[in-house]
Amino acid sequence: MLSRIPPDVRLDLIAAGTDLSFARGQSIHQEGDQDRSLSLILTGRVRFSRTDRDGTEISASVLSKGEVFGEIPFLTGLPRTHDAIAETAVRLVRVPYAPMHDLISRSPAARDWLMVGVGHALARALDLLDSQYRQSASQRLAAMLAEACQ
Amino acid sequence: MRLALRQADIAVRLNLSRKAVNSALKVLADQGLVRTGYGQIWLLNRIELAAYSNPVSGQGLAQ
Repeated sequence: MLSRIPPDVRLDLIAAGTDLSFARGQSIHQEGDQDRSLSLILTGRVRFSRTDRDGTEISASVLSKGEVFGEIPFLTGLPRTHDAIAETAVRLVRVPYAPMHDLISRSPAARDWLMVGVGHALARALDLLDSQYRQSASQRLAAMLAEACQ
Repeated sequence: MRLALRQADIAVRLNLSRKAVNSALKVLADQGLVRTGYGQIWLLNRIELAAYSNPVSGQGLAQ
């Protein structure tokens, strides 16, 4: 998940993209889809999950209004890493690869937002990986609960 | 202290399956650190809970 988007970059994204609506429960994209677009959520919540080999669905995150997804496929060309489902009715702006590429080429603010956001996301992922490497599930749960009651 | 937390929400936050969350809660309950009810978790000993969560010291992956 990227950090909150600066207002001017938000307006640029809206101008460059297409406004789309999804009903609750509708698929937005599926794991493995080849799609390098970036999406900005205008309203509603989007749940990201993937399915284990045994068929168990594992939720990874839920994003909501003002948050953006799709930065990894946009930057790398890799396929979608998770299924995205509209947890509620969702409106979003989808910016295809070419206009998004043009935007970060001409807008230092957009480029900085994307680079800093991806850097922070990478730091969080490394922290998560680090805690998974060092802590059991019950230790991680204990840490979360202890933090919640502070 | 009581927290209104669903296992599904915990699973999302910790990137675990619901089954793994259920097992982890049972471990903590067996240790006397929490008690669980429908959609709720009672924290019985916050200090011991924090102590239990302390990771073993070691080299982290993040630079």
